[in-house]
Amino acid sequence: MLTRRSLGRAAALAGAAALARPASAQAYPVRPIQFIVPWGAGGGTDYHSRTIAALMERELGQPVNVVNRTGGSGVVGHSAIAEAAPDGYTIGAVTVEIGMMHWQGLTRLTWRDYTPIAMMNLVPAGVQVAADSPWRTLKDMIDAIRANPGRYKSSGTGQGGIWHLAIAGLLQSVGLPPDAAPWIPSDGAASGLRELVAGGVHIVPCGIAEAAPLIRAGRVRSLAVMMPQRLPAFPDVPTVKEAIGSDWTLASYLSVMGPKGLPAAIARRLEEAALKAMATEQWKAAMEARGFGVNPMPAAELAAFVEKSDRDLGAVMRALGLART
Amino acid sequence: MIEALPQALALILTPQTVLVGIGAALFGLFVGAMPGLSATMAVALLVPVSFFLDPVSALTAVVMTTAMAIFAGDIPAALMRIPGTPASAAYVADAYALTKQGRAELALGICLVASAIGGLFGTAVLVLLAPWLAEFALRFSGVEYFWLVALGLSCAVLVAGPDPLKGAVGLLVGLFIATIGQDVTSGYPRFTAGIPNLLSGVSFIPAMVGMFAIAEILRNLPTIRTAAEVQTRRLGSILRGTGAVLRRHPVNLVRGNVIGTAIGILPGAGADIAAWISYAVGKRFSKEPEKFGRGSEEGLVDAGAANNAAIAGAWVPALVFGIPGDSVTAIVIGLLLMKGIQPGPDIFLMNPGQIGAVFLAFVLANLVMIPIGLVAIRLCAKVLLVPRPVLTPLILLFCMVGSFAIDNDPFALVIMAVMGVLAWAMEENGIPIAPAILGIVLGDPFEKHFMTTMMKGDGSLAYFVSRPIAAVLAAITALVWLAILWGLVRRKPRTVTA
Amino acid sequence: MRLSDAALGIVLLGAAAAIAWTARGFPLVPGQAFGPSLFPLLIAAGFAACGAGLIVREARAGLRGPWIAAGPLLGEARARFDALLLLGAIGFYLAAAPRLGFVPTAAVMLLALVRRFGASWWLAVATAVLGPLALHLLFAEWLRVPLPLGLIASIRY
Repeated sequence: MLTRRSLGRAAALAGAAALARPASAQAYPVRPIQFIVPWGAGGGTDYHSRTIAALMERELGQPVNVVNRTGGSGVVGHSAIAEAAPDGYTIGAVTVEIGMMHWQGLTRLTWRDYTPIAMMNLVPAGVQVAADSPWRTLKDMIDAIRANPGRYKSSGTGQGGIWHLAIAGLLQSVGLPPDAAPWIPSDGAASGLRELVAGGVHIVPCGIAEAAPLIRAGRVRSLAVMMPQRLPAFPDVPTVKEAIGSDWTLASYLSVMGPKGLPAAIARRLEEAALKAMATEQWKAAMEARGFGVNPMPAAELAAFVEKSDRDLGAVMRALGLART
Repeated sequence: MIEALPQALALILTPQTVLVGIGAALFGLFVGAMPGLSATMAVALLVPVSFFLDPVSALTAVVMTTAMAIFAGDIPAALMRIPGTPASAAYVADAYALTKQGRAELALGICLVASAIGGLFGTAVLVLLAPWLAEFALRFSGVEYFWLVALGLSCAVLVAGPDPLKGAVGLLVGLFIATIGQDVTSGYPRFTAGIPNLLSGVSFIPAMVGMFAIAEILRNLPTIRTAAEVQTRRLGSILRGTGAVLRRHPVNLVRGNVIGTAIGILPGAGADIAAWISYAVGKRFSKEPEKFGRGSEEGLVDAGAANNAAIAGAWVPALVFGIPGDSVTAIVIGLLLMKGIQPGPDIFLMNPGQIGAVFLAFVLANLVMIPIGLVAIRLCAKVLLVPRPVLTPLILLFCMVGSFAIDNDPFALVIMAVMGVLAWAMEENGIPIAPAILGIVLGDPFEKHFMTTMMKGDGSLAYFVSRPIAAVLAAITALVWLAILWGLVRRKPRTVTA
Repeated sequence: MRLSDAALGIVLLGAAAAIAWTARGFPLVPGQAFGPSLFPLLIAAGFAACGAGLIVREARAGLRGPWIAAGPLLGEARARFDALLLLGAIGFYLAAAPRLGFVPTAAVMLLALVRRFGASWWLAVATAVLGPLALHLLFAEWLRVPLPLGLIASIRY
């Protein structure tokens, strides 16, 4: 790892840096970088983060340590990234919830409290039903809900979570009340899908990648994907537009960001490392294996995307009565 | 499955796999023995390493690590009253009581051998019945889980201790702690006093470390300057002593295995509920129920076997449907997919060699566990020779680091300290801790499944018994309550309080 | 601190009232007749029932003995101070560790506690020096637990 010489140099630099911060970007990074994940080990964000951290480590020549800071429904981890010193030694995974929590009044943090580095992935929502469901198409489902509003239940995350917004927005876009398929809160997509297969709920509008193993096992059917185009991993699943003509789309996202005020040179170095990591074969293989797409996005594009997403989510949450601010 | 055996053997007996397996076993032992560090964390640390391993080595590493970590969690539980997992919290009082009687090595020996046998039993079931069992587990929806949790909570009455009224207070304290944080149905923050760290509830591991270890340290402070009350009586042979105990309680061993495997298969229920139910059942049918909680060997056999049997069980839905039973199997599914193995009903047909090798890894892990575990017990028992003025502050520091490490959140130290003082005050006043822990573990799922079931049934109580498995579980719960009430009435009709 | 059953019952009744008072303000789940307040209210009812039960039980036995007794930890001045020091050590760690780092903070903590509990100076110093270093090596270096580095950061890097 550290040779004696680099250790000596690093110590000298750190001493100098203590006097004259910020550390010069040429030398950056001289010590391990902490990569904070606001969600638990084993989830999709954790998987993306551990994969990119291992690959960025090679680009940066310093360990990139993944640290799960769970708790507070994501507030604690997101705060930890925003509140860290903007020296490039603490970055983390900022997820779609950053555009939702502040509308709910859970935190004052918004994406403006971060320095965007790169988009890791988009996770498009799909509309999943059990294999033995009578609905063959999205139109069947919408017709059934229209005939019996409130009868069919949906699930896949907590109350007001991203997938709740997915179905509510979809229903609203076809002129139905957003709660026509009442939401049953669950711990996450996995337990929602379990309920779906066991017959406890009728619709799980979660990320289609999360349902992939059950789709392959023939237990779950995806009726549509909430994206403008079909996904390469699921070529047989139509888009919402194709199925019922609605323009509704929704994707959760996972990005790498640092605290606000990251020096431009350091932010650029991290962006390059992240984009290089996502251009490797290992990244592609790791994403394909779990049914995720590959959607890297540089910092500038990420900022624009996040801003739009924040506004759109706010509109849906207000319509649903979930926004408190 | 048997046809794949030679192929599986060839895959697992490569130098790389064997080396990786031994390394992973030692790693799991170490992480598990550190209070606060969980099997999940150990496995998460393996993920980047597994990029460079072939599929069989990677999965062997995971299996070895988890099996060893879960057993090793019993070591601090027995020696220092710091349970590493909610599963070992069920019997921490008994293991620690044995340590205080100078029989630490025996307590750990029972945990070790019961763990290994439970693990082997669970694996055997996994090999023989996986597809069929997974099919059954898939029929469990929220209603069925509600009744399962209700059954688990009913067990609290059985582990309550000598004073049922104060036992009820303990349970209520636990249930109340479980309500802190965002409400499951509406996301409304309850009793959080505006602290964001409490939004997702009182973090479990720090609470448990506080309630057991910190409370124990506080209680022992008045005598800390006197010589150790813990005498270390060295056993001639741990295995022989353990063997004798296990031979005396064969029924407990079998029962623990069956309960552990059956409950472990249900995704999300897992080892925790298994250990508690098994422990409570053991107490109910024991000839010496008064010993439970005070160093009962029987209780250790029951619960120790159950929680390791549950580990293999959690792999069933993961392999067959890609549904994780706990956070470890969630990571395993990721690993499987990354290595090009698709979970699904045909996983045994498509990858017979590789899946066979995973099963073999389970068997080997549970066999290797015994010699490595014995050495570890001998070494760790030396901790008790450290003078108490030195040991107590070190335990405190371990508790602090362990509590911190679970969420990497300094606030965990506050939770640990507050819970420690609370538990100390409870024990001073004869309110037992075990029902409180059970309340914290099961309070959340109990409320969640109750609320969501009401929402699914549009507020109709009939929905609770509308599905066949739910109705059966409801009937069993009702029977347990009849038995409890009947026992109360028959035993001491006078002390039943209104 | 040992309360008599009746005193404990009064504490429980107080707790029940406090829980119920707080839970009263929780909103309902839309479209349902219940909400986040249901379980807290049930728990409060349980506390109240247990509290009443304890009071009745002691009243029947005839209120004997003191309402409150100090018990071994709070009764003895030295043990009381030990307990305060122990909890204070956790508070000290929380306050000092972010700046000083894990190793120095833990060293101060161990030195104070080990010495206070009656070990010799050299044993206390040895524990304070070796303990935190060993833990830092195990947790921070090997297991990548982000213990606060503090002063160590400038030495190590």
